[in-house]
Amino acid sequence: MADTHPLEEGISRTSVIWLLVAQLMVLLPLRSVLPLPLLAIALLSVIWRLTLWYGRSFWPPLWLRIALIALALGTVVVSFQPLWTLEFMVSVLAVAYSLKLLEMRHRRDALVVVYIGFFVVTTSVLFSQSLLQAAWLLLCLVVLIAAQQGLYRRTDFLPVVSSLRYGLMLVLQAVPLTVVLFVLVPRLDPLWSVPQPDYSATTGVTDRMAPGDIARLSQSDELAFRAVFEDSLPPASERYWRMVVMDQFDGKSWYQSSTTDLVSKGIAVTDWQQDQRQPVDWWLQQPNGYRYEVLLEATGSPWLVTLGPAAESQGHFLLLRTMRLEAGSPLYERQVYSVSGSTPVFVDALPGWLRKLNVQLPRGNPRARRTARRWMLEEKGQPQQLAMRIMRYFQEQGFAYTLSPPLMAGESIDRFLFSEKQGFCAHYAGAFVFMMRSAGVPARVVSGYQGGELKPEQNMIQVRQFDAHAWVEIWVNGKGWVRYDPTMAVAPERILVDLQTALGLDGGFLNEKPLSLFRYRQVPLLNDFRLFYENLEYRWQRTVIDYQREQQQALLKQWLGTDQLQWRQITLLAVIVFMVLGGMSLLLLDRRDKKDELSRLYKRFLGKLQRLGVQLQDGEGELSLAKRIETEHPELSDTVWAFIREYVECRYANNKTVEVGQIKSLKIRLNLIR
Amino acid sequence: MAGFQSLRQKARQLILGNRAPARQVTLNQRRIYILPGIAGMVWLLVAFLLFLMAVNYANSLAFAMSFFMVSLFMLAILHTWRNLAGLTVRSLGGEPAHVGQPVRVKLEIDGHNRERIAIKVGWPDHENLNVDILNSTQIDLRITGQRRGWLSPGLLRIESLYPLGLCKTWSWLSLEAGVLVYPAIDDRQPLPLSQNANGTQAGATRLGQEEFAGVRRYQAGDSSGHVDWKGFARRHELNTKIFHQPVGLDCILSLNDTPGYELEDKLSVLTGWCLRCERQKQPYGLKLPGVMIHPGMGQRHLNECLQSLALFQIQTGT
Repeated sequence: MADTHPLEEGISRTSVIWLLVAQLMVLLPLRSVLPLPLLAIALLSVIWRLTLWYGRSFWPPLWLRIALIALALGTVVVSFQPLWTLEFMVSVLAVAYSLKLLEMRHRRDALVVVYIGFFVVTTSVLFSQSLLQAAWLLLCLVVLIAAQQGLYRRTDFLPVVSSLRYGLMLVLQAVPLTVVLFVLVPRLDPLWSVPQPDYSATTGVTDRMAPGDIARLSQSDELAFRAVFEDSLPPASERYWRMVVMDQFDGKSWYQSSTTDLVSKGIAVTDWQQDQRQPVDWWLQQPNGYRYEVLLEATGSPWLVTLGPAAESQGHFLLLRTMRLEAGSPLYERQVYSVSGSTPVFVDALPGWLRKLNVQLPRGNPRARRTARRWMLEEKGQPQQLAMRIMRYFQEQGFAYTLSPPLMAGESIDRFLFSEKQGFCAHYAGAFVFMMRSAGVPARVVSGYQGGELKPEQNMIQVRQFDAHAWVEIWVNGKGWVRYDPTMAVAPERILVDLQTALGLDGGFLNEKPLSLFRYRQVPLLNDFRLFYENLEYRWQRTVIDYQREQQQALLKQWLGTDQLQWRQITLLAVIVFMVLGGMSLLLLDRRDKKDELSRLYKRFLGKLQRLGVQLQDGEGELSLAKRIETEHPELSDTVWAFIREYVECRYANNKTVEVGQIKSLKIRLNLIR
Repeated sequence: MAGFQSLRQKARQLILGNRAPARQVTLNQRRIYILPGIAGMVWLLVAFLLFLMAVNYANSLAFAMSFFMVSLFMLAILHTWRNLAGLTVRSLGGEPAHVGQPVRVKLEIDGHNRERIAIKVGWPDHENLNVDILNSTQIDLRITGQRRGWLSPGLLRIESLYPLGLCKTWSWLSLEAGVLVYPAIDDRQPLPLSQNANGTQAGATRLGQEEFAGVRRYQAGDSSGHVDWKGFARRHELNTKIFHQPVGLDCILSLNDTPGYELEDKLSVLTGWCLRCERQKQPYGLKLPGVMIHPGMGQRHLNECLQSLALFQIQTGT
């Protein structure tokens, strides 16, 4: 067992294998962040290192390594505009991580690789903190630690897997202390601003709606938000989650007025948005009976979602004149906020500037304009009558609801209304508002989500990206903003049931996600599993991921009282850490003698016999016991003798120590007795 | 540098106290030291960077990751320490050798039934071995004796980085090697001319001339070259021929006969002479102040002489 070689600082083969496995595992969650060529380079490094491991290859020469680095950096620079983004930094780190494999000859190099691995695996949680991601993180840690441990372990006589077992053991042992630190270490506020993950590629409601945009969202089963209600849940017809209000149209797409737009038109910013709770002169707040908490996933935009129009600002959020809430800055983390719902009751006419904003139209689409004006005259100037007329038109003229409408260039609204007659909610809402405005009725497109999945046991509604929807509000004097949903005229099941039903089973719903569990809601077992997992995920998000400064303070106040909280917190932290460490050291340093282990095994053996009906008699030694069993219980004889022989040999042989292997073998023999 | 080394040695002695070397030492809490290594410092730095990342992104999992690394670091202290705790090191001695020649010191390391991995054992400035110990293991450490007498290579160092290399744990053991180092061999000096009773010196030419003195019964260990094969052929009796130095030339090696002034040099010369006499089958005795070994021959006689030379004027600590 002694090594006669001098201490060498090479890298053991075990360690290389685990480093390669770790590499692949760590990079897997980043696959959508990294540009494709970088993934190729990473894979190349791993394969090359593997061939080296098999002894079928040579170390890449310096020129090749430099070429690869240049290629990687070139790719990174070309791929990211602007350069200084989180994705850029993660890519640089990841590519360094993989290329280092090609010059990893000494233990120190390998250690650098492991450390970068810890860093890279942590960057992946900046993009997702789901339960799955956390579990994956833990697995990556086991492998990384196995690799690091392998660096210091000689592998002459130890199997490759033993490192993994050790890694797992270390991770499990570190978890309790990690939890203590997680709960008790004081959380600081962000120290400086950092580049945030890029959300432009992820799906979500945007503030610019060209026909077809929302159809794209129907391909995503990603969670948009959850709303947990305090008491009653709103009925299906009221589940309109308002997020964005688009009051500008440029002929192609609808978009929100920005403050700069408004200022250029001579409208004061304070007119447009307010952050106090004080009421505005032309509407009143009236409670609508819904009190709920929203867990909004990160969107990268400042818009907040509310059930129906918002009438008052909540917390430190802004209330806009479009009856929606907005946070001060883009949301890069999940946002949790409560809404004590109130509904605006309009007591006065629309202010002039707002009316002007909501009737303006660009040139074009003459037929839609003409039709709208004619209908308005026929309906005697009643906006609601006109609205009903348009709804009826959609209903009766063979309009179809589809995710893949034909492309409508040029006079898009005319083409949609009078020739193509098929489209998605954005088409219907856009055309509807266009016609209302043509007739001089203030109208706007509202975008957000509609419906959602009910989770009655949690009194929760869970809304996914494919619930994204667009509808319409028109101003009616004396009533205020009234909601119309033209899609309702074409595909009522979209609102009353869900999108999947509205489209039929092969209507393109989640077509790009064949593995999405949501597709298989009809399969009861899979659906139960999905609901269970989603519940778990919700608890995980609520308890662990949302455990930030405020939650920590609240929890600690509950535990420790309010005065001198920080001192108590730090004292508690120190005490618990020392207790855990002390306990662990007692456990670890407990030098259990193997002779004792033998005695324990023999006790277990006797216990087993007792259960089988054999009682140890006074003064009976091992061998006499075995002999007695031979006559009394011949069916046990073989296995009992096998155990006793080996036990006696261990116990009474002249060697002073008992091998680990002997104990294992005895345990096996013990388990054979039944 | 040498001064710095000895200073460190002194500091070590000061910290460890002057423990008497023992044949067997068990490592306990008082003897095991542990400090984070560079790898451990970098580990903590990575954990700190992750903490900063977590703070700036207000990201719970990044916090968890940073805390995990700190926890693992604390655990690594325990695990690394435990790798050494309770080890027993026993010296099993080794074959004597001369100053400047390598000696193999045999050590037994007993892990007391616990797996101990990648433990580096050795005396500083000598061969170090990296061993895994499942139960107990024996190792041979090659070491070069620098001074005659009982080999005292200083404190034995045992260290380990296992399992994660974050901390280095070590211990200094005052272990007795149990190996005797004979003086160096100086083979350049001619054998001294023994003095006759009448004071005339025997010439150098007589040196090595051996006179046949008869035969005696063969004893095990006698050189085959000295066996009286002719007699064996005649009488079937195995005898060994005995040669004698001429009377009065019985070689008593003494410090007084050696050239040079330094005691160590003189002892080296005497060592060389003893070995030469033994080789030439010339009975030799040794006379040192306080020591008198009567002329004789054979391995045991040689060992006795060499031991006397090795330990001459050295307090035997054992």
